[in-house]
Amino acid sequence: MPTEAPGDPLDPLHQLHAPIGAGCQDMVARLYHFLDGELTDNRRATIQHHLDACPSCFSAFDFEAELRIVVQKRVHTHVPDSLAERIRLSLYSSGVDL
Amino acid sequence: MAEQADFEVQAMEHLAALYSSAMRMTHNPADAEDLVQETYLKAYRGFKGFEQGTNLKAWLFRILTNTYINMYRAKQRRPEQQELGEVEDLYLYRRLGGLEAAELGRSTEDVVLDHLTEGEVHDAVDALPENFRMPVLLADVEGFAYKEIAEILDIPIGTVMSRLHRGRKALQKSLYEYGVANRLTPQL
Repeated sequence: MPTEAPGDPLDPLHQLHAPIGAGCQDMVARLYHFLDGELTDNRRATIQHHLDACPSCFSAFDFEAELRIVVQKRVHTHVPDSLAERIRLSLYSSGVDL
Repeated sequence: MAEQADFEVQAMEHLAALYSSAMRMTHNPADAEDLVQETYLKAYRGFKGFEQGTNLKAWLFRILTNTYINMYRAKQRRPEQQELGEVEDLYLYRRLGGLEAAELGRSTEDVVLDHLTEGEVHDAVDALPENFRMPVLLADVEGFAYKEIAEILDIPIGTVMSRLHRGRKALQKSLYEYGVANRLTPQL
């Protein structure tokens, strides 16, 4: 597809996997509450039930969950080796006695 | 001195999380180290007021956020509150989701990891306005509950939810622009 504009959202390849079934839009709206663990057991069960039956929603939910893991991994930065010691020294020399 | 030892054992466990967030707040290692050191010092001084059994990590993050506001934000010229444009749902999935099928036998996580380097994710996160960046980091990277984020940032829980909703969508667009698009385009 050489004529496709860079990152064209209308590229049909990338539209194929979006959830399209009835009730899916409602699922997408609750996707993050589900992933955040911020739903009641009942609502959680309703969504889980839909995911078990709807491959396109399952695929989208799975992608969002995996993306979050990737962002977590990438955001976590190596702590400079000297920092922990520097902090300990500043606590000792702070004159504070707990 | 038992309490001093308690503080060290319990609080130093969260050093990596605090430092990573400090890096995304200050954008440079020297400021991030100063910010984290100051956070620990304040926490140490106030440790008697910490209620044992409650969430120490959330308490430390609240001190980190307040320290950051006092130490750094006043210096910045950039307005602290910014708005975001509208972004469609599942922005990145609609653009990347199809790749998994094209790369048989690989997990979604591996495929996405290939498309986003550490530097690109940092740039994408840093590009978010601060009022959206912090809720997203606290929820998605540190795993805090909405209520904890509301307490850490001292904003209502409804505001946490709306900023998360828009901030996450904006992050996906940003991840696409800073990372994915670079590698996705040649494959089309």
